[in-house]
This record gives sequence, C-alpha cells and structure tokens, in this order.
Amino acid sequence: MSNYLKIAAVNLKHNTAPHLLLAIVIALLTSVIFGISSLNESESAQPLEMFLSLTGIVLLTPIFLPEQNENIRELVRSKRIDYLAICLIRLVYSVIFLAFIFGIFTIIMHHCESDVTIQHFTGGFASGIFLGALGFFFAGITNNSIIGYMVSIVYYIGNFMLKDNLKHWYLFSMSSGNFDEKYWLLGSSAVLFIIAFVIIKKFRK
Amino acid sequence: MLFFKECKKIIFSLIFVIYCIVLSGFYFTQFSNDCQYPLEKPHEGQTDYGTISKEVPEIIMPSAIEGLVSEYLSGEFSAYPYGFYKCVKLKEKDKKKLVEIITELSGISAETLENFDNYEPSGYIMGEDGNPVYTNGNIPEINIPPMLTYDDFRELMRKADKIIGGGSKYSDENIVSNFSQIPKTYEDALAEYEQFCKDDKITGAYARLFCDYMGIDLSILPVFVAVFLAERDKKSRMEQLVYSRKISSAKLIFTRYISLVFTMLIPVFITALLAYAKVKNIYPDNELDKFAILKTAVYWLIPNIMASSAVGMFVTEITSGLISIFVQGTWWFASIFASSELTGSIRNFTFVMRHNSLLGYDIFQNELHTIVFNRLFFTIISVLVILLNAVIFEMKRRGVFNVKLFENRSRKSET
Repeated sequence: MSNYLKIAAVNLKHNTAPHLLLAIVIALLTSVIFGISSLNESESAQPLEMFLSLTGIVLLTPIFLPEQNENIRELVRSKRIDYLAICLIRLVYSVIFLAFIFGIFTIIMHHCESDVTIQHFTGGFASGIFLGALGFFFAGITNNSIIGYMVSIVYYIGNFMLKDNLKHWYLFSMSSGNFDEKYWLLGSSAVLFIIAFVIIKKFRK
Repeated sequence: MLFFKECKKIIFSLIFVIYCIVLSGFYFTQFSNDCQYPLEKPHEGQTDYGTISKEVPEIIMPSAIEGLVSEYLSGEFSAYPYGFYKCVKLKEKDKKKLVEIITELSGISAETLENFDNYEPSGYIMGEDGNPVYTNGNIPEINIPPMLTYDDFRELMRKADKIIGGGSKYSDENIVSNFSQIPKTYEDALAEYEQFCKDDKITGAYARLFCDYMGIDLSILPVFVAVFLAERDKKSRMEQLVYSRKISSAKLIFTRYISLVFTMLIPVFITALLAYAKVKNIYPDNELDKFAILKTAVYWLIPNIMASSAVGMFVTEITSGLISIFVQGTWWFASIFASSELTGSIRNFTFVMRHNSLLGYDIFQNELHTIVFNRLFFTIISVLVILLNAVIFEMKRRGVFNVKLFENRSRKSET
C-alpha cells in the first residue's frame, strides 16, 4: 500500500501538478467570466456544465502522457509494478481532484446565494468526467494525447450546435432542466475508462 | 522536394484524417442541414414577416429608460460580458453613480428611487382562468426631459453600461436589438429577398453561411494538426537530425508552414465545391455566382487556418504542445463568446467572424472595410509569427536559445 501511495505522490508532483494548476486556473476564470452569485436553478447549471467541465479534459486526458515518451515507456516496462496500475492510480486521484474542484465550486456558488443543490454538483461533474473520459480513451488507444485533446474539445464544441443529435450524451442538459442525460454520461465514462484499459492491456502493453 | 514530402507526411497522419472527419461532420450537420429547402419569397398578406432592429430614437429612448429603471429597482442587472449570462449586483458607490444617470434620463429623483417600495416587474403572470396575462409592472413615472437629445441619451447609456461592467442591454452592441425591434413590412421583406437574389446571386449568401460554420472549426482545429506534427518530430528526435542539415531555418520552417496550410485547405475546398452543388440543387433555375463560395472561403477562412497553425507551431517551439492548445483554445473561446450577435458584429480584431444568416447583404457590405483590414491583419501577423519561429529555430540550431519554457515535466518522471 505504501508503495502505491509513494507512486501517487511522485506522479502527482512530476506529472499531474501542471495540469492540476491549469484546472484551478479554469475554475478561477469560470467564476470571473460567469457571474456565480444569485443565480436561479437553471442559470446555476451553466457555469458548471459549460465551462468548469473543461477541467475534466485538462485532468484526465494526460493520464498516459508521461509514457508517450519512448524512453520513459521503456523504463516503466522494466519495473516490477504494472504500468497500467500506475495509470489507474493517476486516474483515481485525477477523478478525486475533479470531484473536489466541482465540490468546492458548488459550495462557493451556494455561499454566493445561487440556487445550487447536490444535483448541480453531480450534473456538472458528470459532464466534466465524460469530456475527460473521451480524451482519456482516445489518448490511450492512439498513444497520443494531442488526439485525446482534439476529440474531447471538438465534442465540447459540438454540444453548442448539435443538441438534438447528441441525445443522451448532451453535456449541457441541466441548463435546460433535464438530468437524465447525466446518468448516461457517468455510465459511458466508466465504459470508456474500462475499454481503454482493456485495449491497452491487450494490444499495446 | 521538401514541400511535397511535408504534404505527404501530413496527409498520411492520423490527425489529418481526424481533421477531415471533423470538418466534413461539421459541413454535413451544420451547413448542409441548412440547405434543405430554398429561401421562400415573401407573399403579400402574410401575417408575419419577422422583425428588424431599426434605430428609432422615439422607440429606443422610452423603452431602454424603463428597462434601466426596472433593473435598478430589482437590484439585479442582466449582462453578457463574455457571451454568457451574468447577474450583476452593484456596489453602493456604483449604485449612486447609476442613480445620477437615471435621474438625468428619466426625471425620477434619487429620493423617489430610494423610497419606492412597490416595484413590480413587467411580464407574464398566471391569470385567474389559468392563462398567462401580461402586466406592465410598477415603476415610478418616467418623464424624459425635453432637452435630452438622442446623442446625450446614448452617452448616458454607455456610462450606465460601463458601471454595470459591460455587455449589458444598454451597451452600443445590444441597445438597438434589445429595445428597438420593429415588425418588417412586406416591402422590407421583399427588398431583402431581391437583394438575396440579385446582389448576392444566391451563392454569395450561402458562401457567408458556409464560412460562418466552417470558420468556427477552422479557428481551432489547425492548432491540433500543427502541434501533433511538431510533437511527433520532437518524439522521434528529428530536431537533432535537421540541425545538422544544410537547409536554412527560414526555408524549412516556411515550407512546413505552407504545406500545413495547403493540406488543411484541401478538405475546405472540397466541401466548398459540395456546398455549391448543394445550392445549385435547391435553386436549379436561378442565376448563381459559380465561384462565390470558393472566393469567400479563400479570404475568410485562410487567415483563420494560418493564424491557428502559426500559434500551434510557434508556441510548441518555445513551450509545449499542451500550452499551444491552451493558448489557441482560450483565444477561440474568447472570440466566439465575445459577442452575443451572430450577424453584423465583425470588428477589426474579431478572430472568428460570424454571419449566420442568408440575409443581411447590406450589413456585410457595410462591414467590408473592417473585414478587409481584419483578414489582412491576421494574415500578416501569422507570417510574422512564423518568421519569429524561424529565428528561434535558427538560434536553437546554433545553441543560443536552449531554454525551454514550461518543458514537459514528464521527461523527468521518477516513475
């Protein structure tokens, strides 16, 4: 157990810190760009779904980034601890950070007299984690994080124009009063994480 | 030849395939979707011809002043400073400044505003029979001073907008569309349709719509392609190999840049041809300008591709691919959401130009000088950025510029 904690600490320091910093910058920008005080229920959903969800891309897409450097991949392969176990550790703490960012943001909105509930937290988090899962999946299977970023950002842009076409996978449903899509987003994220790990384990380890 | 080698390298890369898929996806779901039926000619006797924003002082002044008083009494101002809704609550000192403006505009004294406690917003409420009923609301009586000119009114509204923080209903951009919507007459609608057929030759209007949709994508997608290729070279340590070659840095960087822009234009031109075919299909008997879509795509979209690619190449050269994507993403986001207007809001430095309408030929013509400046500006800036990229590349080659800002820390991973 202590080994895994050590791995988490070292990864956090060397790999995740810049991405976490960027996610915090996005969270700060969200509060400046959107007003977060005195918003009603549907208005409160907007900053969470439409902007803070980008932190999912920033935190989850680069999970495989370090090993995309051939030298590091060779080194990691030679170690006793499974490479995918390290990626899983990174994924777990990144998801925790994502939840943490959404949690703090929702609490701040609540203090600013906005009408937010646990549903807002869950809904925003679901959009964020799905965007991140898309980036994670494509970065993982193509062994290239740039493709991961591209796919997730294009999907994000598509949500502004393809509301009806995206059906259960529409990211901004809470702003128009629907929550059912969020279950689909959460479930699909889990599926994308699992498939990415399976593909990498089978074909590219 | 290096140019063809670079083009081949790009065309056979995975990122270029994804770029083409995304671009064609955008074309089919957006533009193509809007070209199902021809624009209908207005007929006399229609119940509704739509509305039009016309700057009529007699309409704007009373309704905007009423809106300002109403928002002041409610204590909340709606604004879209960055394209997204923001509920603004003013501090005491700003409230005092705004009260002075309201008094000047409406003749309502500061005391009346202070002591008015029967405020009711206008809007629809549920009537006794269960149907919505419009109520006028309740605000103090407004008496616009006869000496107040329209110019003074606009100046005071500008000040009010500044106090609110910009992007409010009273800003120069929004005041006319918010407070002076008048119904179009049959003659207005017919004149617009005639313009669409004769001045625009139909394809001119569709060319703007095509570029409006494709411009959204082409202002961000090229950065991914540029970063992907730059990062791939770094990964395979091509730099070391290239450094030792005879070719000049300027020639190498410019050739790479031109091949990037050239290859990314290929799917744009293909979709432009498809767009023409689509328009021809729904207007088989009309006279069309065959090259309008292609011509507009050249001057409208090339600067977007150039700027986005230049950012991708340059920022990756001095920092990392991730920072490039962040920089371009922020620029794209700021440009897209800077204006709430989808038509008629092109400024000198608007990166993503919008004109999401088949009508509005005259609006576009009025903006033409701005558009020419705008597109030339981004073209020149892109070339300058690439020139700077070549200089830095040369310095690195000579070992002068070896500091890499924000270098990917993963290289130092201890895992």
